[in-house]
Amino acid sequence: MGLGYRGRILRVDLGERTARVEERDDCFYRTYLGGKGLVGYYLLNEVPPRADAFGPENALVFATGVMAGTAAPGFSRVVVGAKSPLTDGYGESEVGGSWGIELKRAGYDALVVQGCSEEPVYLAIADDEAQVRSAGELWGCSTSETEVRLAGEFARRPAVMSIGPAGERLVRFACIMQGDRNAAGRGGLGAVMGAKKLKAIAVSGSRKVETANASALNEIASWFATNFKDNVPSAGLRDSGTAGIIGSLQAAAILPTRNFRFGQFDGWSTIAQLGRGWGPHEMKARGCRGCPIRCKRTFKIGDGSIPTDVEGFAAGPEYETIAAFGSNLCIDDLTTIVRANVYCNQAGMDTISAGMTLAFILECRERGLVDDDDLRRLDARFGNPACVLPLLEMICERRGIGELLAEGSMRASREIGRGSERFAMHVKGQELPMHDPRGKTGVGIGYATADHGADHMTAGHDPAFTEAGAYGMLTCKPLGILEPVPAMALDHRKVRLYLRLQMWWDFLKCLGACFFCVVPRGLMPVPMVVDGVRAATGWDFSLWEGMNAADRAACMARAFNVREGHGPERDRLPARLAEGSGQDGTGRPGIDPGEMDAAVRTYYEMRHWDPETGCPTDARLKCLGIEWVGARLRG
Amino acid sequence: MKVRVRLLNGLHVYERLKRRVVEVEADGSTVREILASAGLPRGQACIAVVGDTAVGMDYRPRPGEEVCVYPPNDGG
Repeated sequence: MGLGYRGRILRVDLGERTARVEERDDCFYRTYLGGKGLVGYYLLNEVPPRADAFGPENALVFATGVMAGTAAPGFSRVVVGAKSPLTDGYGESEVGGSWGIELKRAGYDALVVQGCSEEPVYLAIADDEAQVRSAGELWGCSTSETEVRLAGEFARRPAVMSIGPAGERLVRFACIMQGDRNAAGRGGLGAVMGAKKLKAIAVSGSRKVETANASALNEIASWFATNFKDNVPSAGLRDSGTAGIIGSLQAAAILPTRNFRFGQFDGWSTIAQLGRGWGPHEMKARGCRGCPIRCKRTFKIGDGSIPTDVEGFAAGPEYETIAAFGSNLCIDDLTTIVRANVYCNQAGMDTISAGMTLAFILECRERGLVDDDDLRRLDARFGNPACVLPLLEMICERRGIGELLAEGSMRASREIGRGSERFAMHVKGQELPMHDPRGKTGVGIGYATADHGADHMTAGHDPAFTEAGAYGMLTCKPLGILEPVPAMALDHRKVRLYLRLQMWWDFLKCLGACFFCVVPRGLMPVPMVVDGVRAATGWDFSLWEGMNAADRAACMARAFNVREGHGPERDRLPARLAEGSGQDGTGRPGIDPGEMDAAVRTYYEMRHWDPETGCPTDARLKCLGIEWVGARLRG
Repeated sequence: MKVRVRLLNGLHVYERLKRRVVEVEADGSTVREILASAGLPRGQACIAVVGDTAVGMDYRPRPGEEVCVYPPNDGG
């Protein structure tokens, strides 16, 4: 056993109903770190080329970082990965909560699940004991009910990752929930779990994580707790949650509205209220274990109409959800947005993809591309809150029009045809999050090149780097970010800025870090993160090593996609983003596809990937010490 | 008559401010100038809104008007 890490990977085969422990040495952890690094390593090694995402050969990986379970705040996130049924490529999502801490305390750094069970099962992990147990009575339960029922099975309350009915029915954007408000939302990983007939993974760990310098980690925690209140991004999150950005997005005309047709929404100030309260309902700010920021919102609901936690609070929507069901659908009815969020959490569906898929079908109907009894009966149109929940229920149950929509917008558009592909806003099959690249081109580069499809959390966003005094510029000099770049630039300066930020983000993903705790989106400075790794592991660790681990993780994920036959043709933004988002000339101009293609090519070159194919070169793989990836690419 | 500049989404934490509203006489100054004189470092606020309309940091608030300012938007 090492320091900071356990040196143990739990391997479970559901087909065989067996569990075993794989031991790994210090060199392995120093090379791949954890989180995204371990996900890429195991997916590339364990999942055969062209595997069926719903088949037994797909692997589902849950990985923590070397600071999970230590005193350092904000490093308890888990990176979940599998071949995605939504993108047919590398799938990845991160989730907060306490599950990662429990797994680490149970004695494991990661969990790799392979095979498929014939009957519903759940995985019970209590320290050294890992069992595959029958979940017949849990099948069909909501995520919250599953958690409550499993709590009674353990001597000590476990942390639970579970899927809802949407995952069981293989909705391609089903998510995995940890508790009632933490979601590994993206990529349809809940459907992979459903295909394996794995309802839940309950973990309870009782052993302290040993570190090299516990007092240094305590000092970091103490410094963070003292200073976060005076940090602008942290104070904003504490004040208004993630919804605090709605005003600035509206002002910048990049608040996704009406399926990204527009960038401003008349009801923006109404939906922005959800960051600070919801009518008469008592609000309580919540956070992940050990984090003082408490960016999440919960609301007390007394009438029993919405599932709540034991204190009577229901999970409130975060920004992505507020915009996905709000401005994006032209809805400012807060009750509908809150209920849609709770429904998706309980059913286990990604709110971003769900909202975007609804927006797609509403636009198709508006344009006369689809004529469907369900849509007509529900008066499904932008601005009608009454249609939202029934449509979500139909998706979860794969009933009526829901059968088509459960496939996600890309596949639905292929089925509908008639030019509807123009209104399916996705990259690689994954629906766009609620950030419009027409006001921040680096986000566009991120959407285009992200290994797991459109994702807003692959790097810091452009506006924090447009002026010398901006917080991003002030805090990211150790990353080599020394000169501001205009938000709308799309030349090599923007690619360089984005790439440096992306590598920092990937390093943080290898550590299981929360981006809201670390610069440029939070308080903890770059050197302190490196110091934290040193204190946890005892390594004479450097930022250079961290960035190399990030590079390895990115190369492995890219190699996974290349092996699936995916090339630069999938690194493109939806055609709509080439159009302006204007209403009366107030919107944003479109992004020139030729300029974006050139930026993506520059990105490949800066990464030392083949500019024609986007494939990591042999030389790069050798330089990073992962030449084995080349062998996987050659089959 | 005064103008009010409301600091949103964490901007109130700057050491020399520690307040959520900056109130000054309407003397034709821009929002940027008002914030600079109040001690907000340049580059921290980049979006200004009056009512439901974005006005920019070079906007000159009129007497009695309230302007909301935000930091650069980032991922949620």
